[in-house]
Amino acid sequence: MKKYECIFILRADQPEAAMAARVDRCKEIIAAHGGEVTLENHWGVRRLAYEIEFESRGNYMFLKFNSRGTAVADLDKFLRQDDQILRHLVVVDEDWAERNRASMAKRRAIRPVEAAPQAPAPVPAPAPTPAPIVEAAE
Amino acid sequence: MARKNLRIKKKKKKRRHGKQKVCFFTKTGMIAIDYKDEETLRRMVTERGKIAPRRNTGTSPKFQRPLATAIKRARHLAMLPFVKEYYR
Repeated sequence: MKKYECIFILRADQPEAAMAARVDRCKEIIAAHGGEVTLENHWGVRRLAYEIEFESRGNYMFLKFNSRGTAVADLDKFLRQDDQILRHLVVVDEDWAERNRASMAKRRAIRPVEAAPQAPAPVPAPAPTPAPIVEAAE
Repeated sequence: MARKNLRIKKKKKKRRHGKQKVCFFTKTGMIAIDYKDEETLRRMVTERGKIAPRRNTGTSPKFQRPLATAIKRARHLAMLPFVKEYYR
């Protein structure tokens, strides 16, 4: 079992039922291979960066699922053969957001500590260092 | 004196033209570049929509490679343009 992500873009003029039907079909395909959909995120209608098949807007659907690798081929075939789907992408889920959140929180935890004392630190820091030198000179 | 002169020479060699760039991902602590993160990807692309070279952005090689993949994926999904055209 592996984690995957799937995004597809449906034509914006399609009714909501059309989107629901596609999502159900995707779930069926994944279930047939012993997998399950873990996250279903409807991004809604968005402007496309460029026209695809004379469409300037698209209805985005984002799915996360656990499955065996065999499901990907079937899912890909289904999405590719559907005329109403403008684009699709199925990739291995690498937990980008979660990994970033963890590492950036770590960095933020380190940074303020570094940044905060750095302003006051240089002021007291030089003070103790010259002191021993003076003592040594004496 | 000789030592001093050597030092000056070394300093001259090290002189850089312009400000040294820092990798955005190293700076912010990002480790994974997400193709869905439009905001980050947009700043790594030129005005024309090309993938910005490292010499311009300062991105380290470790991150430039996955960044290129992420931008290509985002382009495929029409989240980023292949070319931004000004004159039509």
